[in-house]
Amino acid sequence: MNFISEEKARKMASLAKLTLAENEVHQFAAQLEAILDYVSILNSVDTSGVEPLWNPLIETESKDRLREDESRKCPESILSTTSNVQDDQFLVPPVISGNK
Amino acid sequence: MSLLRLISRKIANKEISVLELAQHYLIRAKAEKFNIFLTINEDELLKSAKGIDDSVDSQDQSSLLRGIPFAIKDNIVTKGLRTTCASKILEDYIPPYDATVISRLKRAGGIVLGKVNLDEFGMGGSNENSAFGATLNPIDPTRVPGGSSGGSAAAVRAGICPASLGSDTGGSVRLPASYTGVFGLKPTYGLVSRYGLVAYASSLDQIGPIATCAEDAAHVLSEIAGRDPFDWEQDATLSSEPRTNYLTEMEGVSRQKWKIGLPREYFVKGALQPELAKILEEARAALEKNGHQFIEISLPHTSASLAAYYIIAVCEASSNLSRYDGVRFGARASAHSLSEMYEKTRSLFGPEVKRRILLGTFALSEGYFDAYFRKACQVRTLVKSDFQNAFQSCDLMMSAVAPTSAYRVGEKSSDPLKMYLNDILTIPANLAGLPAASIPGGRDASGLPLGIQFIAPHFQEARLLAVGKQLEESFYKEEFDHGF
Repeated sequence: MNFISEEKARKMASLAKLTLAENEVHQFAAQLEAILDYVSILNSVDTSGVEPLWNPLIETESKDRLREDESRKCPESILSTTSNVQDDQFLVPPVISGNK
Repeated sequence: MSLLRLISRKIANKEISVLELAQHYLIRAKAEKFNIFLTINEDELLKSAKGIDDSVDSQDQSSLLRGIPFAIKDNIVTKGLRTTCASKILEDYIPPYDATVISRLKRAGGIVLGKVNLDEFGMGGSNENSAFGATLNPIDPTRVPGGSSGGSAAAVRAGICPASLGSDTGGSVRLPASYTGVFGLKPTYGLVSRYGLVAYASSLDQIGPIATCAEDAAHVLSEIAGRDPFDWEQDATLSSEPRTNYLTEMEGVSRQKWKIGLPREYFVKGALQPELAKILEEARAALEKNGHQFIEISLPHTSASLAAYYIIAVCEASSNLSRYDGVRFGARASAHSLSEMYEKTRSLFGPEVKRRILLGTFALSEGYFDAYFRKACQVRTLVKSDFQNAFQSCDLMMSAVAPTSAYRVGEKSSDPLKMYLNDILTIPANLAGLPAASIPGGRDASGLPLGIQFIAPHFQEARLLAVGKQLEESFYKEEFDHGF
């Protein structure tokens, strides 16, 4: 079976914002293919009527765990983890470059 | 007497000062040749140690952790002390806060000796996936110490610190504990706050103690486990279990006679190294002499659990690692556009991390979510109910941790799938959120350690600690050289 073509690997890399070198594309596609082939054992398990388990601790299902969003000023300690800061905001390159 | 108790007594009797203890371990940390330490916390270590000696109640050893230097896996954040996750992308990252477990250790008088090596972001089983070189097994440096908490386990094995903290997502405390012959415990999911543990797979990760014996693991667990008021505001996946003294708990269950289940799917004929199979038989005999009974049980969905894990973990990882984009922290590549900055920055991830992000991205992508992630989570429900059913007829389960003792560096690193298959015995406990431990069971003919795994029902860590102590007393105890 062909789960991951090289084209698909490139597309996934693009979605995940990863750059892959040409030899990496080939290698990863093959490795991912082997892993997905192994993982297809899941298809042989009868899961009809089974609810998915997203987290093993039942308590986390409780809505009491959530609080309202609070808007606050960004603490100095958070802004200090990079030098690319100005006026309490993080500086980044242009969202759309000249070429795009 | 346990190592922590021994050290604590020496401090109380003024045989050694906390500063001398710190210097003793600092010298060893600086001289180690196994590539364990990524950052040594020299100044803060000595300052804190002296502070404890100078304080008014300097002989108050009511907390056994007082003055004890700890090695901390470098995916647990320490305020002001570099935390790299063994990744180039966090090579110069200085966290602005302490993880909850670090605050707890410090409150009990513990001191951070340094940050130790791991597989990058916790992804791996051999400690070979570090951007800063592989850690070597102190017992045989041509072999891996196991991973991803290889540095934490190796530090205790090599006598460089009395105890350490690791993290376990699919076996990453238990496997290196088995390969280096130390006691390692993965708590119940939700028992220990994950606040400050750099997230790999949020529904699987847990921080766990590594020590020379069960009793010392109990002392450490007592400090890091359970919930203080408001802890859950920082980690919403924390259980409501209160703080507990695990030494008292472990002593409280020590006279109980248990039914110990042997999952038939974990004992496939020929799958285990022969010496390991023999050790399991002999451990069984020793525990039967202690009055416990063994029964065969079945966990029918075991063969599907590895597959479920390698979908769930990679999907969660692909989401968790999307924050490494160069914007707010960590490395940032120079670029002309935001998109280019993301891509160039993230090219700093190592190959295993990239592989898992790609796999997770694929499994979560349009058209595949139901077939992969949702399906894996349904299988997860079945794995958890396998355990719940089995625990109706037993109190503990016993198995190997891994099929063999430590393998050679490079032996599995070229074949990711081969590496993944090594996790088959440890992963199910993470899927079900159950506590599990690796207890030293002996050595093979090459002198390599072989660990025995026990799995307990949710929040029954005391049983794991108690059975660990029983095996130390009546079956097998590892020797350590800590200089005391």
